[in-house]
Amino acid sequence: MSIRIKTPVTRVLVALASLRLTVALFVLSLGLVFFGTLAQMNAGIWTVVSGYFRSFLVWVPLQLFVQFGQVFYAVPRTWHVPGAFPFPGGWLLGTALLLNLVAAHAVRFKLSGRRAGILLIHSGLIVMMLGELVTGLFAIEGNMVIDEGKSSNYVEHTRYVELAVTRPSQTDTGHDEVAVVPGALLRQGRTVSHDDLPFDIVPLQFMTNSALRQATGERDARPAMKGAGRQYVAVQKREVSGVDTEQKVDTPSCYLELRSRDGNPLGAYLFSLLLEPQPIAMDGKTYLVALRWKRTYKPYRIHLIKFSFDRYMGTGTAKNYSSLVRVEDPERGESRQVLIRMNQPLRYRGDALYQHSFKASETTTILQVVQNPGWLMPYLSCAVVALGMFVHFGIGLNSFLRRRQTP
Amino acid sequence: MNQGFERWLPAGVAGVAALYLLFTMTPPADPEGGMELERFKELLVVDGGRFKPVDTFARTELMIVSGRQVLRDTDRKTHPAVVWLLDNMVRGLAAYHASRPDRRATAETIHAGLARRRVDEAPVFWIDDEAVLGMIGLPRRDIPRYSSTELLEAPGYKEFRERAQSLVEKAQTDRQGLGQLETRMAEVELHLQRADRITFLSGALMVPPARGVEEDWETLARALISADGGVSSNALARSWETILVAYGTGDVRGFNQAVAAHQAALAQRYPAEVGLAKVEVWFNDFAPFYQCTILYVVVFLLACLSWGPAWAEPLRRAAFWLAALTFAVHTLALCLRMYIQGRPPITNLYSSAVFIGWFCLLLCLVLEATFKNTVGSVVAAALGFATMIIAMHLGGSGDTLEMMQAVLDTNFWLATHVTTINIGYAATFVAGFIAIVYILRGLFTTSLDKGMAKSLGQMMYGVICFATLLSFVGTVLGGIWADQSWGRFWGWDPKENGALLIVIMNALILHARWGGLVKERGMAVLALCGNTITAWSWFGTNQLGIGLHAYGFNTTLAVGCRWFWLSQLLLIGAGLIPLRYWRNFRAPVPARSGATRSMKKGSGAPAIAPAS
Repeated sequence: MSIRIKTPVTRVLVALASLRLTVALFVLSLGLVFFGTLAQMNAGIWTVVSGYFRSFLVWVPLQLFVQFGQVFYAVPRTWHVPGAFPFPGGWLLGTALLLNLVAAHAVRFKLSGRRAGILLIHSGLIVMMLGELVTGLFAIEGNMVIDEGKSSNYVEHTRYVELAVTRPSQTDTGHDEVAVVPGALLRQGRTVSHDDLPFDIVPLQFMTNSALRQATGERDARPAMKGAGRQYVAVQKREVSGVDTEQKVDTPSCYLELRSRDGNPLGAYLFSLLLEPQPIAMDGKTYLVALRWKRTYKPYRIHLIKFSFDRYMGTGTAKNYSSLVRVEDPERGESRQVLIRMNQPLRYRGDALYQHSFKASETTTILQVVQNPGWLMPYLSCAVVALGMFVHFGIGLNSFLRRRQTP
Repeated sequence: MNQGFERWLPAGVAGVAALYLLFTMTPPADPEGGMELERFKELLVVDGGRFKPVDTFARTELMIVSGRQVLRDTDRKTHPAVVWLLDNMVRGLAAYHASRPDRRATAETIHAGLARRRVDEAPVFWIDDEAVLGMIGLPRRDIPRYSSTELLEAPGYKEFRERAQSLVEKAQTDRQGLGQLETRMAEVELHLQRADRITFLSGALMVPPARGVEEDWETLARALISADGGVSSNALARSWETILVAYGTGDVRGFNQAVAAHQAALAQRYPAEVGLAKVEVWFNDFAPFYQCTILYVVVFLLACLSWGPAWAEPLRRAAFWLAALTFAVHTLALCLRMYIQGRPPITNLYSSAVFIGWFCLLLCLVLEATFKNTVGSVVAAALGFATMIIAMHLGGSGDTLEMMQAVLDTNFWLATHVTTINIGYAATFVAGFIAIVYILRGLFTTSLDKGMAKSLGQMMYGVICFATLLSFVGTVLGGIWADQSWGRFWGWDPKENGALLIVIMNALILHARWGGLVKERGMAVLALCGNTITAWSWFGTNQLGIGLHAYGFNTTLAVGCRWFWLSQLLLIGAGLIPLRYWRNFRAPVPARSGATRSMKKGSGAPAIAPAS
């Protein structure tokens, strides 16, 4: 230890810099990552990420371990253990590790050739943790769904929905008038009213994940039901879990009651991601109302020329998916053809566009559009840490071999 | 001790093994004047989206249906898998010919031949599920293989097929909707359907397009029907027919000529693929991984014997040289797979086992060459054997050189991320197995003297440093690949988390040692934790989704994890037993003759000091 004078500050620093603390934090991290993996048996990956890894404290249900036992140790499927225990979350452990690391450098490490490797490793790790922080705070992901021969200038965020009330353009060239209500407001259940909305909205029921089925007897049970709700009934489904193989995203539905501005009920409606926009007349105007993924508009347009799905001969196994697109950006005067394929994204104006999926007809592509200001940080970090390990372990190996050679 | 013997033993062991390998490498020859089945094996077909020799197709199908790659007839004589394939194909062809007046005669000859050789009575179909057997009406057996005749004559066979067929159709749309018994019924039905497809001449794509190489290949059934219907004429469909008729009627000369002609025609149009198919047939016959498995057992025995009272050094060297030879075979096999597939070494779970075994061996040989204390050889043999057994289980369900799903179709990331991450797994396992040696020797023997303990500690430490580097780089490269392919560097998905756990575990061990919190024993216990975590990351995470929702189509992996973890927990418990109960520390350490080099040097040295 290089510090001799014991002031309260140095005492705290020394305690913070302890390797025992490092090891303890590693043990906790192992626990957190493991629990966060098990939790994906029941909950969606995003729920787990925000609950376990991007949080300060998480309550880990004991049932997870029963489920672990059911998969690997033939524990009966009927067992259920209630209760949960608190555990430090990702933000807390990350911060603690960062403090521990910085304190260690402040207290213990001096700049020297032998220490160069450690310094590199640790600074690379700091970059990586900051990268995850930047990603957690600022990265935005969305999908762009485009039919062949058509184009799109917005992305849809499949983790959020919004209710869009559209008044179609009254002229041929004009724009539609759109007012959107974020899904979070509908979920809260309070009445929504706003100057841009032609009516007030009273949320009745919100389902995070749902399926639709044909209405049979219910028609009479819900006399006020209008629109698609007369034909279909929404059924609540379990939230998609992180390890699901069949369904990947939730499909929300909601029952809403609409009221005119002066309080007259207009009827209850069913809106769902699985339904087309429904026309609703109001004061002599017709609005198209739909529950849809939250949208963000981009300053450029992507035009899909052709989507291709190649298979291996005589099999259904995918060999490659690709989308031949044209990027159109009037602002910058861009118009060029690009092939987006697996493992070869297009990076444009701070966004990265990936071949993500397609629709069953194989004429509609789904591109994933990601905006992440921190995307380069892991690349940098990886190089720095790897270099640091080479240097550090190289020095160690070298001196070990030299010791063995000298008798 | 005899000086000559000491020098002679290692060379002798390696020599005998080399002779054995040379013998197995020599391809089997066709009997003089018989059908040239060895040549037939090399004929090119397309299956699972890739070109392969008909031999590989026959072996994988038979493996799935029968649980082994050879056919044993009613006289208990073994035949290569292609015989089973040919028998089934000619039966199908005869059925087709019987429907055409001009060829009814050949059909009768073929049927007579099949009946004479009692082909239908050979036990082929592996059905081990009691409930399914009960439904079909078959008796239970120790080795549950049943012949076609037995199946057809069983009272419930027809009804079972009808029921199971509808289950298979149901499984295609709603796999999780099947119950446990239904799943097993569907599984048996799928196996029976495979055999049916071969009989219906639709097993693999066997006929190239009439001209050009751009179009898709066809099944023989389709090609024959369109040829006989006058829709198209394809010479290669006709030559397949000639081959089959000659085989079915026992026309040796006709068979050999037709095979040669067919092969020549293929070689003209697909020279590269035909060349690779020849290599693959040789590879299949050699079965290098099987040979390696045997050799690993011998290495293990030699190495263990070297810890006995006599001939320590010659046995140690014999084990080392044999391990090196096995490593050479393993390397050759790995390279051949890469050559045939035109890909980096790891493309699926099977090849990851093969690769991890290979790398463990490489690492252990380096350790053994450095420390010369047999630990390297023992660990090499144990891990080599274990990974071969794992690979054997993983390879039983189909072609191990299968084509890659689109997202994996990138040689760059396969070569970088996948390889480094698996090297990380391998190194973590090597450290964990050295830990097992440490704990077992300390607990049950008196051979863990200070020098040995120190050497083992150094080996573990060095390997863990290496594992940390590789698993870190591998994990981050995986993140970068994910960023390249779907724009998310880190998604916290189970597989990524598994890799992260290994990195944290290795970092934990290193920091605990630098902080002086653990010495050799502590490091050994932690390295065992590394074993459990690596198994979790390699196989465990894959089971979560499947294990929970479907009634495991394959529960072998989950059961494997179960016992491996239990064994590691037991060893961890053993490692935590207070030292005074360890045999090594209970009795005064006797001076051992034939001490290893590192022992002499290490004696009296202080235990590893904490980092300054």
